Amino acid sequence: MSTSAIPQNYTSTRADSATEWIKSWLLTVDHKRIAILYLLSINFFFLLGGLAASLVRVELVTPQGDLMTADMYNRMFTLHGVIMVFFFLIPAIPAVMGNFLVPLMIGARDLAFPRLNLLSWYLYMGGGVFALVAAITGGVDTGWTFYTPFSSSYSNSNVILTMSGAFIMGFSSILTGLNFIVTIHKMRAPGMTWFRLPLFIWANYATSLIQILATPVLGIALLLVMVERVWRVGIFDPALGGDPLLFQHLFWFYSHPAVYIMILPAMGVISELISAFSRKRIFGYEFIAFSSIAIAVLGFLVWGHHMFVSSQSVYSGLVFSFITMLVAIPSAIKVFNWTATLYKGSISYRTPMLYALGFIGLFIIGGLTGIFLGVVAVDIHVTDTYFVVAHFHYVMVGGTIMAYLGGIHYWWPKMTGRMYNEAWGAISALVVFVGFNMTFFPQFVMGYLGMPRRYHVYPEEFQIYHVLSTAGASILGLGFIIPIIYLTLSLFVGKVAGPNPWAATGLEWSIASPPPTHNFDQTPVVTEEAYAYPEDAAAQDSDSWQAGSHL
Amino acid sequence: MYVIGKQWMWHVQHANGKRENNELHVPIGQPVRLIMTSQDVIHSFYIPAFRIKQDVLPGRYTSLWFEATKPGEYHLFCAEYCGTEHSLMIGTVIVMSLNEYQAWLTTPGDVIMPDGSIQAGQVLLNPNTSGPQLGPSLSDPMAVAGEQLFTSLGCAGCHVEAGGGTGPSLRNVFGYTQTLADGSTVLADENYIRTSILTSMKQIVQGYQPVMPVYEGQISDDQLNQLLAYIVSISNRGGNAPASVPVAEPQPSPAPTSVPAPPSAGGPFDADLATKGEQLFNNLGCVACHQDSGLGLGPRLRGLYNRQVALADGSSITADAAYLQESILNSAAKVVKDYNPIMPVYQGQLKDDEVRQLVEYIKSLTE
Repeated sequence: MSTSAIPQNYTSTRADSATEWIKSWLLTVDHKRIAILYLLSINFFFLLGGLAASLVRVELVTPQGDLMTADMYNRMFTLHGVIMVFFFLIPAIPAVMGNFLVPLMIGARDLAFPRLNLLSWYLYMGGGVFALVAAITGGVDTGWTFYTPFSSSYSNSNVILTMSGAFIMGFSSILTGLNFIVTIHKMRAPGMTWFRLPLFIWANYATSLIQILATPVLGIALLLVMVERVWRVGIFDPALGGDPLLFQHLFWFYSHPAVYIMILPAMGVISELISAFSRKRIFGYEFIAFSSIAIAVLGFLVWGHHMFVSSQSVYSGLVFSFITMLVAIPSAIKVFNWTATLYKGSISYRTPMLYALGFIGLFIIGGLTGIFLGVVAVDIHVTDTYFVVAHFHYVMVGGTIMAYLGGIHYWWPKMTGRMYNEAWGAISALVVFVGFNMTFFPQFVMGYLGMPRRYHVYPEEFQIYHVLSTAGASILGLGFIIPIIYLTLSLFVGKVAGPNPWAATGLEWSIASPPPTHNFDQTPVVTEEAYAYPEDAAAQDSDSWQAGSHL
Repeated sequence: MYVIGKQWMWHVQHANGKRENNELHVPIGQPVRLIMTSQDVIHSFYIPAFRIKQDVLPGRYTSLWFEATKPGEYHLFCAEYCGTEHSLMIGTVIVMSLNEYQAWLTTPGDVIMPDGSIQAGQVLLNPNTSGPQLGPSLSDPMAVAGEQLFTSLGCAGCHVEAGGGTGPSLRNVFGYTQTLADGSTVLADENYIRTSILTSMKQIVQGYQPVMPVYEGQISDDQLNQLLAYIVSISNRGGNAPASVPVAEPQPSPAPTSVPAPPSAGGPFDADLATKGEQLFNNLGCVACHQDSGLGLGPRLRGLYNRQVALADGSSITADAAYLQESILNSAAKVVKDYNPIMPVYQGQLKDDEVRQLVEYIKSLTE
């Protein structure tokens, strides 16, 4: 099939002029085009956040603060945190892959509210502009956690602008969540029962619940800080009669669930990848589905584990510690089920699968160190040190970003109709894995030895770990740049993928690549469960294997 | 030991008033309890080698305890991001033997005096014991400093230790459960004492009037720590509250002095206003210091009106209505000879009417 023979798809356009072409993208209500808009803007923010991280890492090569001033350093790690959390991790998988795939996977024409979907993108960009303007006009130095009373009374940086950015972005997140929930409830194709939904849909459903219920609390907390800053109303600053811990409660009531906004969709992606590249029905479908919901629910009850040393009562500390342990159960269920799915599967180590396997390993480390931190006695020592930094990077980078990259590689042929260079894909996955571990494993060690986080200068004994970490970060950065190059090249020189290059199940693989604007020619009727791979797929594959076969 | 965190420094005050910055000297083998607060944002007191960490918050106390087991020098970090120089808010914990610690304590250094000032090259010695000064006891210089402050600020005028004052006796308050005016109970810990000193009306003890002045912004954290040390030192802690916590009945106002204008002493006054003024005088707690016996912390006011008053600066002035009014609103302006400028400022706290009532009442006090 040559390029010209590809039927009308969502990327092709009837626009006559450049202006119309731009309009056809910026005013589109097609979920697939909006997903592409998100893909471009989110990757832009990812690179920006990555740039800030690089500067932080370079500064930390030496114990002295010789590259930049303390104020500059504080602005850099804050920029890194704010951009990565609010403008990359939270929207990344739902807004890019969720937008693209939710309607395709459930056999729908579009999301339930296409215009609302476009509005979410504009809100996201609006928030992004605020954050960018804040960064350019002097930056903000509160850390992404905006702790009071520092943020409300003491910091003299662009706190309000940045908070407005996060506040506005929050609405984007809420609207996307709302859109997904309604779509998943009301627009499933005939025969697509709840338990035939791909697990990616379950994961996004659980994520959407959190987005709708928790994000408003963050909005309120940020708004209150702004009120205190502008009008000096005593809310959080004790000098004005406020309570500084109130902010931490409000903030973590959102921001802990937000951690699950970041990881749950990633887990959904991994469920898809593991099943597709093991060519095997996923093990324990219902358990994985409900564990997503369980994580979403438990996520609301554990915010206090961020505050073990904040002077909250030791008894509430114990309760929060116990509930935190409970989160390990659904998380472990997922890991065990993925592993069980691999067992006797027809495993092929294609690029997405490499990312998926990397995810499982790194998430186990990230998850288990989360248990260390959930134990009050250990947490008292390691909280606010690099141990915490390493822990959440293992979950957020080792988890979410590995899944994001895996998902991008898996659905790239669907989104663009082209295959990328498999060899470079495998190399980059390996580079990311090695670079990542080299960056963050030393941070566990130095955190345990007592290196506090957010330090611009530090005692010399920690230098060796910082040097290792920065060296790893350079490799990691390379690993992120390689895919940008070969994926972009694939648009022009990549092999045409065809509808189903992975021989995978799922409605999205039953239509052309890239999908037509209207998705399905006829509303599909679903007659079997997700991941209906033949029982003897492994045997079949080994019988029919020959050098150069694509799986 | 008392710890105060501020951007970007750690202050430590030892029991004898000795103060150090970004260093913490502690004796080996002794449990050490730190009472910590912050002057600005949230900090976190972290000694990695001891595996302990506790956030230090503005506006309240948090505490941390440890017992060092090995002499040496250890890192002290601020673990909660606190602004520009967060990474320089570090120090050293120096663990030394008991004797060395004792010697260090009694080496002259920076000492926080009861007036809150810091004097270099001083040492406050415990006059009563020669042993190591650990833990609060009445003879600790820091508690003694607190006691001096307690007297000089005039607290002692109301908080009569034997009971019966306008405010509750503070003996055996710390560590005991207090019953508040609304019937609820609260454990009198460091934070309760702190809140009650700074803004007493938040938690009024049952049987007392909310007349204590607000000290928020009037005394430093160092002074607050000294007052706390004193109040802790006069409590035996543990066990139940002493059986007879003195509960002061609201002082029955003497029958209104509807006496006709006095023969000669002061001058004419308005009896109605004077009656109201008297109530105010009792309710505000003025009566505690301005005692009729002349033994109070403030001067006796009977027969004062229109007399010559000698002031602390050596001049004298006629105690007319204008002087009385000024002295009520801002007593520090013209302090009477032999008295300390400790009276709270009532400027902005009293209405004009109330000031006039008080002035009329003072006029009515004749020999």
